[in-house]
Amino acid sequence: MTFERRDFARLRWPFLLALVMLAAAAAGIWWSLKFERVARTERDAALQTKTQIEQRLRQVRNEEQDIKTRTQQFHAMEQAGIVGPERRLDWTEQLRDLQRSLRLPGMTYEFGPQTPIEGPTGGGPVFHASPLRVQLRLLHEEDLLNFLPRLQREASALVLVRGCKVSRLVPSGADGANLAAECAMDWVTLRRSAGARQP
Amino acid sequence: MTARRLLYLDSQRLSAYAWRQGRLQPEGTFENRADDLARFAEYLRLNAASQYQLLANLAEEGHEIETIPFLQGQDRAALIARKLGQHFLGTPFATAIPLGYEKSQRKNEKLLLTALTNPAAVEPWLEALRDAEVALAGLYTVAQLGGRLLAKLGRPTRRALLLTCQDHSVRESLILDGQTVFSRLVSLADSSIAGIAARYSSEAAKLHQYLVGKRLLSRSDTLPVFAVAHPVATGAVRQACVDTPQLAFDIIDSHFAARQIGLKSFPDDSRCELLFLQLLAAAPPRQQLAPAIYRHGHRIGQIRAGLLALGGIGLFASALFAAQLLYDAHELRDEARTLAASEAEMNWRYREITATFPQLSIDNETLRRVTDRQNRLLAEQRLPDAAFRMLSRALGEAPNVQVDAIEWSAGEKVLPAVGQGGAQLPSPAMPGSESIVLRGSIRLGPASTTRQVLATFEHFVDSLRVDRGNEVTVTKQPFEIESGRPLRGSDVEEEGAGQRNFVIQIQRRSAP
Repeated sequence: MTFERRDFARLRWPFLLALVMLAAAAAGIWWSLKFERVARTERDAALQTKTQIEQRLRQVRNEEQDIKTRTQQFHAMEQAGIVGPERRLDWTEQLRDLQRSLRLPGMTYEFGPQTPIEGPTGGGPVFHASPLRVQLRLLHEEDLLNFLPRLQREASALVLVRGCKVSRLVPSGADGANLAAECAMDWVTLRRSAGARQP
Repeated sequence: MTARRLLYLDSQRLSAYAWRQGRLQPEGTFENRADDLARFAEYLRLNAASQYQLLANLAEEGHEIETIPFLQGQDRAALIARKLGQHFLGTPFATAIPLGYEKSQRKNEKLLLTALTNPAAVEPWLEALRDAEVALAGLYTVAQLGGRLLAKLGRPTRRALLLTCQDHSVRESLILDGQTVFSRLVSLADSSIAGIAARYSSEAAKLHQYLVGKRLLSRSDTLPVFAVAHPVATGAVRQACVDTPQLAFDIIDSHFAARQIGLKSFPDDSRCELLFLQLLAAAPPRQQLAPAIYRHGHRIGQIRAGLLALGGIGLFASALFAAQLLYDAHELRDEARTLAASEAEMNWRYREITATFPQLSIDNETLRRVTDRQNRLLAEQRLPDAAFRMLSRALGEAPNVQVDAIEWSAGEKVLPAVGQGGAQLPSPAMPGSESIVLRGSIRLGPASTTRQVLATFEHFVDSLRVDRGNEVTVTKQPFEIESGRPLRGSDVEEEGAGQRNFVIQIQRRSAP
C-alpha cells in the first residue's frame, strides 16, 4: 500500500485522538499509581506505628516489675541525695558530724572540681564525680574502718573509696592520735548535663 | 460504528442497500450511464463514511482449477499472479482461492482461479468508488457465496449443484467440497413462477451434461441439485423438477433460507440477491477480486480504525489497571484505618499500664540506663575492711613484725601516684581487685642473727600466702641477699641493727 499526502490528512484526527486516548490512559495509570503509592505509604506508616506501640506494649508488660523496681531504686537515689546538683555544704556538715560522732582527733579534706564520668547522653542525666582527698588522725585503725562505711551510708552522694594510706605516727600526737590516714574517694551524683533540666 | 452498505451489480444496473442488523434497506438503483454515474457519485458523497462491499453477478466470469508447486511468500504470490495473467489476460479482477494441498510427496497446492472477465462492466463503478474516496472492503461474486449458502442451510456441500434466480437470470453453480468450481449465468426470459420452474429443470439437465462432458462429474453418479425459490413457487418448481437417475432435486424455500442465514428482509419473489447480500454482510469470503488500488480507502479506514482501536484499548486497559490500583488503594486505606484503630487501642492499654508506675521525670529508657549505671558504680564500691582483717590475722601470728604503713587501693596497683606535697596516693582502681602495699620491719632484738630475721620474715610472708587469693610480692627484704643487689656489713654493731625494714605488695581479688 502506498501512502499519499492526502492520506496523512485523513489519518491526522484519528492519530491525534489515539494519541489523546493513550495520553489519557498514561495519565490515568500515573495518577492511580500515585494514589496507590500514597495509600501504601499510609498503610506502611500505620503498620510501623502499630508495630512500635505493639513492641512497647509487649516490652512494658514484660518489664512491668523491672520498671517498678528500677523506679524504686531511682526514688531511693533521690532520697539519698544522689540525684540533682551536688550539695557540698551538706557534705562538709556530714563530714564534720561524722568526725564528731566517731571522736576522730583530726580531719582535713579537699573536694576537687566535679567532672562527668560518662559521655553525652543526648540531654539525659549524667553521672558526675567530685574527687575528695581526706586526711584523718586516728586513735587506731578501727576508726578508719568505722568512718568509711558510715560515710558511704550517710553521705548525700554515692561514695566510691579509691584508696587509703594508713601510717603510724611516731611519736604519737598530742591529741592522742597514733595513726594518720589519707583516703581518696569519688562522690558521685546524677544530674543533667549543662544546660539541661534537672531530673 | 461505521455504517455498512452493500452494492449489487448485475449486467444492467447497480443496486445499493444499507445493511443494519440483518435488514437490507434499498437506497437506489443506478445504470451504467453518465447521469446515473453522477447520481451514484452523489450517493457516495452523501455516504462517504460508510464501508462498501460490491457483489457482482455477471455472466462474464471465469473459474479455473490450477495446481502449483508448494511455495510460500513472495514466490507463491508471483506464481499466482502469473497464473492469473495466463488464464484471465486483460482483467485485473481476479483472485485465487486455495483448495488445499495434494496428498502426494510433492505437496502441490490446488487453487481455484476466479475472475470477472469483462472489466468494463465493473470499472466505472469501482472508479466512482475510488474517486469518492470511500472504503471498499472488496469485490465479490455470487458464485463465491454458493458453498456458504448450502453450508448455512445444512445441505451437503461435498458435491452439489445450486440453482438460484437473480434479477433476470439463473445462476448455476457446481460446488465441490464447499467451493464453487464452476458457475455460469443464463438469462431468464420468463420471470413467472412457471418460467423459473421450467428453467431450473431444463438448465439442471443441460449443466449436468456439460459437466460430464468436461469430466467434472461421472456419468453414473447422482448429483444433488438444490434450487432456491419463493415459498409460493416451491410447489411449481418441485413439480417441474423431477428426479432422474443423474439428478436429485431439493427445493429450498427462500424464506426458510433467509431465516437460516439471519436475513430479516425476506425476498418478495424467487430472486436470491438479498440472500447473497446477507451472506456477504455476515461473513464475507477471505478472497475478493478488487485490486489494491480500489481498496485504498478501505485500507486507510482500517488504519484509522486501528489507531482508534489502539487508543481505545489503551484507554480501556488503563481504566482496568487504574480500577485495580484504586481497589488496592481502597484496601490499603481500609487496612491503614484498621491498623490505626488497633494502634489507638494498644496506646490506651500502654497508658493504662504505665499509669500504674510511680511517676518520674524521666522516661523508661533513661531510667534503665541510670539504674544500670548506678548498679555498676555500686559494684565498684570497695572498703579496706577485708584487707585489714587479713593483715591482722597474719600479724597476729608474727609478733616480731611491726607495720609502719599500709597503702590500700581498690584495683590493681600499677604505679604509685604522687599527691600534693609529694605524698604517694593510691593509683586509680581497677575493677574487681585491690592492692595493699605493706611497709614494716622485723624486730627481734640485737642478738638476733640474719637467718633468724629472714626466717621470721619468710614465716610472715607465708602466712600472707595462706589465702590463695593473695598474690604476694616482696618488694624489699629485710636483708638484700639477692645476687643482683649490693650486700653490705661490718663487725661494728650499727645503730638500730635490731630493726630490719621490708616492703611487701599484695594483690588480691576483692568482693564488693
